[in-house]
Amino acid sequence: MKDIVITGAGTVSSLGIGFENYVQRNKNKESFKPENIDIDSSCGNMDIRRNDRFTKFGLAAFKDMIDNSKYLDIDPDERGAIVNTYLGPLNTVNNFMHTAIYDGLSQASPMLFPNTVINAGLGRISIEYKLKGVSYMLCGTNPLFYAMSDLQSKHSKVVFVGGMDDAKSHLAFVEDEQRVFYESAAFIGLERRVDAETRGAAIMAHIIGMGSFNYVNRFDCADIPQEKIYAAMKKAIDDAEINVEDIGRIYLFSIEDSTETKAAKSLFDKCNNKMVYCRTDYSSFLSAGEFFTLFDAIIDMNSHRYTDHTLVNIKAFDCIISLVIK
Amino acid sequence: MKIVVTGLGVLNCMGKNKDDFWKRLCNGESGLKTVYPDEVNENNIMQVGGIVHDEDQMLTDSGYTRTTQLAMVALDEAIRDAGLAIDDSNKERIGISLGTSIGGYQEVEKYQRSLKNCSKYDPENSIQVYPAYTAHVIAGKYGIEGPLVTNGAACAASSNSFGNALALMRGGKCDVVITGGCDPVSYMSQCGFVSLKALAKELCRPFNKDRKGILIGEAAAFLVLETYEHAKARNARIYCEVAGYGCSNDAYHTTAPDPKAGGAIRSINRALNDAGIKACDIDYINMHGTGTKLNDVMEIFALDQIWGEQAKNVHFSSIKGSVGHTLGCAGAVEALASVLTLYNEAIPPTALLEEPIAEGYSVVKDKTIPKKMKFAMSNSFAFAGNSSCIIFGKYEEKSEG
Repeated sequence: MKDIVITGAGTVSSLGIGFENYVQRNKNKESFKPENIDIDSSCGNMDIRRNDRFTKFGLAAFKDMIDNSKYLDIDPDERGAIVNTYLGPLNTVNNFMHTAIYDGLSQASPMLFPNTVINAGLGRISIEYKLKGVSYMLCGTNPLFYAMSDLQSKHSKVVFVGGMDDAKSHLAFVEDEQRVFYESAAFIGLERRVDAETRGAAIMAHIIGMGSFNYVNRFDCADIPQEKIYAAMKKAIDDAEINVEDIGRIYLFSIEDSTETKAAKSLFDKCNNKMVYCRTDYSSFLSAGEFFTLFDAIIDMNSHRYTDHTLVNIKAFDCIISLVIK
Repeated sequence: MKIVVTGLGVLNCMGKNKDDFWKRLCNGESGLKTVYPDEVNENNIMQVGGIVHDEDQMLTDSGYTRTTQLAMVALDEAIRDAGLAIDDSNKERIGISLGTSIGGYQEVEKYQRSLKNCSKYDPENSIQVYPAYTAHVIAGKYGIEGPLVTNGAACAASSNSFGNALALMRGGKCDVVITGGCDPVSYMSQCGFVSLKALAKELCRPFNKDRKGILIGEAAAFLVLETYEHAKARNARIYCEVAGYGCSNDAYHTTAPDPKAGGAIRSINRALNDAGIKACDIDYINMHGTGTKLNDVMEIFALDQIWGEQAKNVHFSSIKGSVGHTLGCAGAVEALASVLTLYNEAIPPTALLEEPIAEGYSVVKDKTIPKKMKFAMSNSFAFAGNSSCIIFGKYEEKSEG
């Protein structure tokens, strides 16, 4: 059984700048639409000048999370960060290469190059908030497993996990109208329950079970096998040391009829539509979108004071993760 | 949980397999040579570098980026070296943990060049810019269906990928994780390091008083990590144990290392703690050793801080004078070199080192020295502050029962 708690959340996307804004729009059941996000409004002057849009999204979401917590009371050596991105600072890479190829090397800014490395955003956040614990910049890999692993090994007191991407199309530099992406960033703070309670942190959700299965992403939007999703959900329930009947609510990553809904119906004999929630398909939000279904579950749980065990399915770039939270 | 190394594969300017690489490393050779413009691209600005010359036509699958092609060759050797058969019975228990800095960003360069030359760019290829693309392609090629993880922590990417690999194995998700890295020589990295004035013009001389910066090399390297039980069950040859791992972040500066070596000291101490050993147990350190003014001084400082009076007794070297800075692959190539050092009980010299940065330290130069060893350490430090340390332990075959 897992004993990890979520003690903070922050996000910036067209679903809302700031977690509170996200909550409000969620409660109002507003649908999302592409917006040109004024990310600079969430950054200080220095951050606006020296960072690219990719890093600004990460910084803004992280600041949103940290402003509502007392994380900075924790020893910097025990503050870790594991961040995911699908595409990294692709726009900056494109700008840098454009300048170098068209205008010549002398015009390529030494200030721009450090922003072309994938972990630039993680670095800026680590500098700003003195994160000296575990530090991973992942690409297309959901960070939840690695964060929980680090916490269970007691290497860190808190691990911030999140995703950040500033891509607006399938690729920033190739027109692809079939896949429009929404630039976004999201973070949550994870702690061992005993540590969070000791420091008097406000607990948003308690993760007691986790199951997952991995798949090779062949970039072809193929359906995830039903039996694999079933197995991930079952594993999460077993990990939580509860029974299928103890689950009161299920949050799915997909909408309407899908292999996921079939898997849910197969696992939960008494499953009915009242039990299943699927607000929207967040896959267009890339790495940050992996957290939005979890956000929806947490918001409902806290605003309606549900005490049921809740199962949350997350579709990541290379795996399906099922979490049991309460 | 005891985790062991059972397979190695490498491709770089010093060799197209582990045996060639090791032989030339022990000879103190440097594979860094004059680079001709058509070897890299039309605007090549790198005068000397570590290019993989493909006379044997190993890199034949031109539909993929060079990053992926390099990875395929090294991965193939690692799997063969481990004698690992991948089939339906184990494919979901085998994972890949890969580090890369450039990844598929070479596609961006292709795209920009096509715009400039008014030539057609095939959007189908653009899918390769996903940094995770290579891991998924090579997994698909070998039928691997366990967890895949791509780490993008710049020059510490493939050493950080060890941490991810260990988490997967210790967490019970995998019996085997093939971990490593790959990065090509790219115009972007050349331009970037030139713009930072960090690229040397002729020689890369780590830990030399007169050192002028880095030279870029390209490489792919993979190590097959396996639980001890799994390796023994299939009677695999064991190179060494993975004794410990630690990582941290400098949280200091985007491109410069913390002069007080905060990240380095923390990651080394965490690795020692993970291994359950003391600093004095380390017999050899494969340093990050870039040959830049700031990095090499920082590493000596870390050595002094952790080893204290014993600092001058610890043997260390850098292989970047031989293979160049292979960016996201550096951690994997150096880890592989550390494994061979431990396995062969011989420490190769730091190529091109003439006058060491500080007197009295046990930096290995001129020739390979034989040494019985129990533990070898490999360190990596990166832009954005990522730092990591891997400790390998000598594997001693004990009689069963």
